[in-house]
Amino acid sequence: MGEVTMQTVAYAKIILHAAKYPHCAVNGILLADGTKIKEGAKNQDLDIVDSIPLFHHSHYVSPMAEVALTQIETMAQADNRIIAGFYAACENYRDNTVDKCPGQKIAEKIAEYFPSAVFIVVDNKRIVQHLDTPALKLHKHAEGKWKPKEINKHIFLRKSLVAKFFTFHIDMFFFGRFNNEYLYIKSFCGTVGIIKFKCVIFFSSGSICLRNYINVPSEISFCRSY
Amino acid sequence: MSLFMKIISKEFTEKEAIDLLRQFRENNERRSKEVESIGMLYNTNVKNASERYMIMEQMIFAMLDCHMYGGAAMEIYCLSQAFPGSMRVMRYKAMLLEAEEKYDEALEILDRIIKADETNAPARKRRIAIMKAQGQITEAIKELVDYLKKFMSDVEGWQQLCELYLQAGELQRAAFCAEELLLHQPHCHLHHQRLADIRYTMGGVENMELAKSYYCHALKLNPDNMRATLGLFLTTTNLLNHYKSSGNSSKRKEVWKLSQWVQTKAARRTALNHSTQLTNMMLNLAITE
Repeated sequence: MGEVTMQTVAYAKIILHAAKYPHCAVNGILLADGTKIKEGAKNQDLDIVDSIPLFHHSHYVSPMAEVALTQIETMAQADNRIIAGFYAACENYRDNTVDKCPGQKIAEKIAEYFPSAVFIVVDNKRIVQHLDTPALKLHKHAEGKWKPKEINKHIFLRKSLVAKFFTFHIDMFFFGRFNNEYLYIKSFCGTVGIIKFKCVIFFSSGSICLRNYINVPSEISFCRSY
Repeated sequence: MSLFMKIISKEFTEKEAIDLLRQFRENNERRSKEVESIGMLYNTNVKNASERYMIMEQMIFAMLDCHMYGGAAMEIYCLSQAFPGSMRVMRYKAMLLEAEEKYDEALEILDRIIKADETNAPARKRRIAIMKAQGQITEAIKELVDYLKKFMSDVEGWQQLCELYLQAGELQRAAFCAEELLLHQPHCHLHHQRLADIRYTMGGVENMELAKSYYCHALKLNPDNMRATLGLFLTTTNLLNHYKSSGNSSKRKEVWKLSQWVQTKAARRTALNHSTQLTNMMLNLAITE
């Protein structure tokens, strides 16, 4: 019981979100398949089918998170999915723990509504060119805290697909489900094997973020066929 | 075709490449991967000496961002030959050490720079950046407050302090920083929206009223600001709930009008995006009279 599996698309979105904003902390929501979920039961098996990237700035203010969660809930209900967890990557390269992640309050709220929720922390150190092992750290909610949990070897049902995605499709654009300005991800063109940057250039992150929310990128195409 | 593909298939002329670098520089864009590949693939030997040095500087930042310390060291060496004893080049050396996570050595150089030149603002900022990189948020805040006492007109500094305070959970102080930002750039809609976001997060009727005004102002400056539109929607819904129970009819009417207006605005905007979900969601949330 309590096994977690993950679809490639969910994993790819998490990694690409972290890769697109290497100098920022990022976070987002995990959606699980609702058909296998029993109401109210604890410690259930989860099949994470999709993830929705949320923010790379404004982590500590609430209005946009409220809107986003309401939207995601509506969308998830329509597709028979449930909000089953939260993912985050820290700003600093060496911070890979839950308490350094932004948006813990959102995660707590999710766990309140869905007790088997998971918290995934992106392991910055393991994002490398050849993603042999998943660059994630899995945490489960137990007794009001996020407890680390071993990642199952079979977290990916079709592992070969992951490898394929990251070796052959490095220059494609990837796009979240919402077309709103703050809910998109796009693979940065180039290698996914770039390592999360450290906080090197002071203060320029502010201006970059502002740029990102005025312009919606023009070169967006849907690519879900891999 | 993506920019990256254009660069590697060499569809740029040299002049275009240099113009692009200038554009990145002027807009303060952090496109390190692109800058680095342009610099590598094109012979950016600009005749204008000052621009050549600017490009070298830009390349150093980009290469540090892409973990290419060898290349960055070479550029820094070239610059130090051209400008012996320059503080600016010293600062790049400190940045290289910082990127290699040799923080103590970097701090040593920066302290030397500050000792020699008290007014060297960038060196002081780098000290704060190092603290931030080490995760020492409270120390970084202390240092940044000291810095802002000396350099009050640094907009970036206030912005950074605002973010650090938010991270530390001190909303009241973050709001103060956001107000300071507003004073420096009163025509930037994003600053208005930022302050409104903070006020909304703080909660309470007074803060909601403030958030409402700032969101309205942000929308006045830029009617396309979706975050402000949605934020205003949330704020007015919240206020309507409050006035409904406390029964202040004139204020309630005013907020009701505003709520209706912002609702139609948001719905129109999302209809353009071919998504009916938000419209439905808003209808669910909206309070019927």
